[in-house]
Amino acid sequence: MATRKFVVGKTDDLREGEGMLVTVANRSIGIFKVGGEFYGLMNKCPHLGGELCKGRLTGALTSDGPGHYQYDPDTTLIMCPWHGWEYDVRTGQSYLNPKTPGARPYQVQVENGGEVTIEIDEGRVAVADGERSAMRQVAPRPAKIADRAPGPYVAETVSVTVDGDYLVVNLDPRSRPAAAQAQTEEKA
Amino acid sequence: MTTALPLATSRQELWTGPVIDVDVHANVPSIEALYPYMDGIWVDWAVERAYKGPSAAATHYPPMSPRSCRPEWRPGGRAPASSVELLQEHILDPWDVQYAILNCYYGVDSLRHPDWAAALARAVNDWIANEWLARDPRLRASLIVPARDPAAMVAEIERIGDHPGFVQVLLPARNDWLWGMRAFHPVFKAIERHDLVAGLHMGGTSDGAPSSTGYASWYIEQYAAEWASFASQITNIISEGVFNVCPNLRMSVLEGGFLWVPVWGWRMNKEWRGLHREVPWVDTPPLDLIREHMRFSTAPIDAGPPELTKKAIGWLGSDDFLMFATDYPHGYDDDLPGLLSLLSENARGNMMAATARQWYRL
Repeated sequence: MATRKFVVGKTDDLREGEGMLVTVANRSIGIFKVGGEFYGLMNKCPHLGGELCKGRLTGALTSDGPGHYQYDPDTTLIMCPWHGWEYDVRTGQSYLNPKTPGARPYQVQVENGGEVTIEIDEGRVAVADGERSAMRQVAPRPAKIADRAPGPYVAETVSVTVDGDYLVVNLDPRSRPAAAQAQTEEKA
Repeated sequence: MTTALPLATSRQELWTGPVIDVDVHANVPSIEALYPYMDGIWVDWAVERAYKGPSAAATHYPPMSPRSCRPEWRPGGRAPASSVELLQEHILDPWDVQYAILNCYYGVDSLRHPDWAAALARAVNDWIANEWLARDPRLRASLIVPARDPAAMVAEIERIGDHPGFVQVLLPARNDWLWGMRAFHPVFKAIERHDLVAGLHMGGTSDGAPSSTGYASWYIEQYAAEWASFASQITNIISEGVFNVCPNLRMSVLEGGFLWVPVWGWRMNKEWRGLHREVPWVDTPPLDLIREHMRFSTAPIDAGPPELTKKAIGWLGSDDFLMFATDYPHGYDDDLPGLLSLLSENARGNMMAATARQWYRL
């Protein structure tokens, strides 16, 4: 059985608030480091299939009236370059505005170095080429985006683990972070 | 639907329920008719200059155009729709209306003298109150405002906005600046504060080009493309956050058509999703804002073949969207029975009276 785990880079390939594009098993995946953690998203916007992970990491913008801008740069949103849909890179949840009806994530894990080294030796883990794209620094930020309702779309998250110095993407569906679960929580 | 009642059809055959007509017009017969409602200085002002009245009205409604008046409604030697008796004879009685909303488009918005414009607006409003509202209990009216001066607009709303006969403030579809701009927010707040309706209506300054790309050559172009001015205003009003500033504001779109709205709305909703970071205060899809805050008069109806019109009416997404209007004395030959046949029973009752009754607190 073909491996579902791929080494996509080293942990120091990304600084805080940066992302990079990697190709794994013919799939384009964005890897992001925010809040000291690594997250993965399929490079495909669930809206119309734009290359989501080529978008900018951006701050959340809300308003309570004309000319009033509440801009929070410390968020973990990525904006699709096609139509401006914004997704939390940690969960894949899209966000629009407070009154807009609700949206899904891929997970990146950090794996134990010893384990993945053995797996690389045994050919069970593939090493992928990474194309690093410099992105603006974003500071760590917990939980939900304030004052914004989840949008209708959820970008597919990818499991990324850190194994010692290595970033490992696991495409085994069982390793995916529970995006649907996140959405259920939003709606509840 | 300026619909004279079809000669062979009685009012009861056409519609057995109550009728509220949200757009009938009063024409000021001459500047002299307003003298009793002006301070002496402004009567002198008009007499010394042999002033005959603002120019904009004739630009929008060329006096002898069939669009400006149905032939059978032209009184010999007098201006059409220039007295309450004419309105009673042509609309109020034969249509047996419960209420009619009187809109006097006099073109005050084309004046540049700030004090003269405000004085003339006051005179027209007092003329409406005394010569029309006081003389037929079925009438309600729009007050007019000097559209180039937001502070003077607010002052006029404060002066007469609580008169029980005035239910609306007439805002012409064309002006120097789009209505949603912040300079006008105090005007909308005043409209909301006095529980009035903002009535966006055909007309406006004749200084500017009638299209966003300059002057057309013929009246037909101006009249047929006027919906574009309405669309520009509505796009601006939503984008500028008027409904954030005035969450209870009601706006009527009069003589602007309505079947363009859903198509515009789809586009607007889509652009809003992608570009909402420009206007983060717009937190509701534009088409939803329209359905909440706006109602549309039915005359003239931009209808096509019935089966297609029916489909397009479905796109409005609401049974509570249209308000019947004759647009007296303007002439269109709209097919009211045809329109009624395309609507659900609920939508018919709403269009003929119920929506307007709720909208104008009648």
